[in-house]
Amino acid sequence: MAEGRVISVGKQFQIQMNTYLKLLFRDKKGIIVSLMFPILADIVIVWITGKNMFVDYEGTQPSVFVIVSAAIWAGLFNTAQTMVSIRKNIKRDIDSGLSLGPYVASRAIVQFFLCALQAILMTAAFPIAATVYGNDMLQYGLIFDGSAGAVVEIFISMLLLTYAADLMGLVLSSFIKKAETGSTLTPYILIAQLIFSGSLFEMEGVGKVVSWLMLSRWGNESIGAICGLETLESRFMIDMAQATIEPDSISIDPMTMAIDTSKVVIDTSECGHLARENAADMYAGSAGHLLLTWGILIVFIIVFIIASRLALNGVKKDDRSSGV
Amino acid sequence: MEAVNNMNSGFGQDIIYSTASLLILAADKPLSIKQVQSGRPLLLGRPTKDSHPDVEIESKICGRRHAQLSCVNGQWVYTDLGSINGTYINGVLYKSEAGQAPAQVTLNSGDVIRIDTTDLAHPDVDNGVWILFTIDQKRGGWFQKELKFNEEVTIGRVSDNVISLNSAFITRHHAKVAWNGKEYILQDLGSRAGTWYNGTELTGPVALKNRDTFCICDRTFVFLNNKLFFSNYESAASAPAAPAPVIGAQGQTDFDGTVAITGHAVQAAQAAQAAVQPTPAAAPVVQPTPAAAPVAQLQAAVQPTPAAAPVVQPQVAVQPTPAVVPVPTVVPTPQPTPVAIPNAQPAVAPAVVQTAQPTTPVALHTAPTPNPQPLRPAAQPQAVQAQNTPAQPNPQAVAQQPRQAVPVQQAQPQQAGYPVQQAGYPVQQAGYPVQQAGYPVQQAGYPVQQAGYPVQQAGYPVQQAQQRNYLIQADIQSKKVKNTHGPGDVELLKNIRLNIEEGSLIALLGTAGAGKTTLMDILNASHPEGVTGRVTMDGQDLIANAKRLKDTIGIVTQDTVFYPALTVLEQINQSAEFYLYDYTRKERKEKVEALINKFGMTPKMKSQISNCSGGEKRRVHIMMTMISDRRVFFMDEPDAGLDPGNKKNMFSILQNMAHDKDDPKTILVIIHDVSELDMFDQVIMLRKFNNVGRLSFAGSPQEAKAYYGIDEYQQMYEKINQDVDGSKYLMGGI
Repeated sequence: MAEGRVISVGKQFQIQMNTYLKLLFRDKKGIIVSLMFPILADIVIVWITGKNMFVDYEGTQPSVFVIVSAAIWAGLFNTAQTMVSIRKNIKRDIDSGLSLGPYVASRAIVQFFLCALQAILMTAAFPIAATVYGNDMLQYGLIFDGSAGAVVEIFISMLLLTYAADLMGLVLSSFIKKAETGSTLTPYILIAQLIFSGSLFEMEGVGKVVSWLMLSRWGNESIGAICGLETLESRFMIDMAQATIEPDSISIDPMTMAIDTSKVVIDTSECGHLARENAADMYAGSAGHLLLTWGILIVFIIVFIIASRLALNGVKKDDRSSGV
Repeated sequence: MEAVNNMNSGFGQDIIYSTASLLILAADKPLSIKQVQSGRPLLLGRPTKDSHPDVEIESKICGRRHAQLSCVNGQWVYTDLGSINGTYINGVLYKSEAGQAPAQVTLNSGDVIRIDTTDLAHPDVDNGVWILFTIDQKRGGWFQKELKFNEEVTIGRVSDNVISLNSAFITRHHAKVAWNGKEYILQDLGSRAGTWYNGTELTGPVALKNRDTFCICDRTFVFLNNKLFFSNYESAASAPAAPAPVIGAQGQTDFDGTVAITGHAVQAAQAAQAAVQPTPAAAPVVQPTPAAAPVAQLQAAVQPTPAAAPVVQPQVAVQPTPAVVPVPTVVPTPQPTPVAIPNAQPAVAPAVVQTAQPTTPVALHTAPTPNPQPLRPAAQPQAVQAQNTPAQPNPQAVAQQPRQAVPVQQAQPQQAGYPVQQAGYPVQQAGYPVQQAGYPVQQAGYPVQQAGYPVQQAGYPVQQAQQRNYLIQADIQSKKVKNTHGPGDVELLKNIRLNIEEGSLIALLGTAGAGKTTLMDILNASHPEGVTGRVTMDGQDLIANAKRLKDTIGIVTQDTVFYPALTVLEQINQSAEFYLYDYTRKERKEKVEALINKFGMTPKMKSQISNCSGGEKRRVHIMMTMISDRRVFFMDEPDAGLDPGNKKNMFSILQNMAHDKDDPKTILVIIHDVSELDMFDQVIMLRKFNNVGRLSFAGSPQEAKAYYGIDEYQQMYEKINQDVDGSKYLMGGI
């Protein structure tokens, strides 16, 4: 249909916002699922991985990995079907001359607040786990002072991570033409995020470059840095400098004059633990590093918003009679 | 504009009907308006004792046979007939030279015709004539507004505008014209449909020059000699909120200076006028048909044509009403069916109405038999516009008397004020309508037989003169698209000619692959590319002006598209907010609730759409587009997936919307199921022939049965399939 004058973009945005809020609040099941997921993640952390939270590296890093995965999963599923489910509505509206921008803007803004709510729930896992097991909570943040400062920093990281994943889902749903496609692709996207996060395997070479494109990597880095993974001692890495050998355990073969090392007993009771060597790279505990990760996540957010808007241009080519 | 060489379509008679107005501005003469209709070429010239051209130009500089106006397939053409000075059209001189082809040019709405000296640098100020050519809206008329230096003329939908045009797609305050100390400035006020100035959309203020035209959707404005001429509709829904202007003897008014000039607008004004000097009803000029012309001495003023049409000559501000005689009370007998949409039938004479119980068909041009029994019961006539008709014999008394044998009149001397008495016709009675040649003997007590209307059948209710308003007229010679599987183009449609009446429900049917959607996309201007031919809406080229006219067109897609979680009211409100954003909240609410009520969804207004039935969901989907209040709607299978009960309900709603007296809509619907075809006013049947979509039939459903020789509509497809060589059910030739 020939284009012509239409209602202003601002008014379109207003109408789209009102409509989307109505739709969102009426989808009670969707809201419950969106909020239950972070709660489930909290339960996993507290129950399974939180026993040695903030005590040692192995007690903290898994929780960080779980919470980052949960954040990405929650964000992705918030919006994986948002645009594709209303693709025909969008097609009808743009045929009438309406703009695509208000669609993206309204969803992006409403999702921000939903992600904030989810981030609050997921952030709560850390103080809850520390409290449940009587461990010391983080004493300070990297930017903000005190324990509260650390919690705020974790919240900000969670919010940026969840929101970025949310908008990644929006891009996906803007590109695809059928809802089933989204359901098929989402697990693969998540697996890729997990593999290239740098938490399970050390990334080198091409793998390292690919990991830079993953939200999970930057999420892990930011929260890991706040949680002090750089300096947290590893349960399995002992500082042998303080080790002592029991004199009675040394025996020398009179014939060969060799020490039977199998019988040597080393006393490591006085030994300390070392931090992981690679932790310093990924989890550098400095304000600069934290701000860098936040900046990168913000760039992802902006790129995804633009990509979503551009992806919706494909709707114009949809066949009018079928709507697809 | 292009000079025209040959506009002869070669496919039957002129199919596309068009009316136009000529606003004639001659020096020292009052403005006169001449409305012309397509049907036969019209002579434009200076009247003398011996010559009475169709369009009279009272100017010495105009020749007696100065030019000819003709309309072929909706396109008006101006032909100079060898005048001495020629004619300037939009500043270009057209003058036929001896021995050469006549100078011809196509005319478009807003063109300015100027008859003057050959050297415009030295115009003849006393005798030069300006003629403004405009394409008319069928139901409306022309108004004139004199611009004053101290007055800002606002144009918009609401009544606080100086010029109020009541239409949904005109913004509350749409545009304005104001004097800036040096010139008049036209400015769009952020309207929804935009303002189109000399064919392009206005993006900022512009200074108006003499003869400039601007359009607001389908309303045309012309700026000429510090006056604004504009067209407007006249239906009840679009009647200006302000009272009708009172017209004085010289055309002045005491109502904000807006003067109704033509047609219905003037009639409405006259009805409101307290004292208007009655004028004798202008006798329509009879145009005898060649076939029917009796042997007699005919006054050869104008070439006889097949389709006789009375040519009305209105004067300034006082429009002589059609001579209407008192109308007897309608006898409850079956209504005659409307005339078939003309297609391949030569329009020699109006089609005789086929009805269930005809009396002996009235033979044309024969004197009535002696002492015929009165076929109509004497009834109380209703006086109509008595103030405009001269004193007449009591028609009631006449109607009550048995009809006497009327002697065949020999050719009589010309009666002053009446056309030449035709030999072989009854004596023209003073005070009675003029006998139209080509029609049955005019019965006293019956309205004047109007050209283009079904023949008045004795014994049937008085044929109400109903203006046949063709909203869309199409003459599609070919529609081609690029061949994606090889070189060249693929032809999708060929030779489709049809007229779509305003306020009607039209079914578009077709065999598989016949091009229904393709045709619909052309008629709604959404995909007009590759079309050879012409599609007009109200006489305006729809394809060329698609962007401007798109606000009059609504499209309802096949798929139901809405937000299931919203309530019916919320969903329609959302659509209303998008389409009617310049309406106040109260206005929108009224419109939304009225529409929901029309669709019978008031009880479900607050229900979520997901809880509605399939038929209700479909209605919601349609309402979402109809809330935009366009003039014409195109729907792609709105009944798809509905059960028979819901289908009937759906079509009933659409029928009511089409036939709404206050705000009729024109609704074209693609359907496959013909079980409810009787509910439609018109049927367009396409078929695929030689791999190209062709027109098989266009007319009323009842006529379709007669055309195909069937009892059930489903049999149409069988008949078409059997007609393999296209010899029976193919229009437009092989």
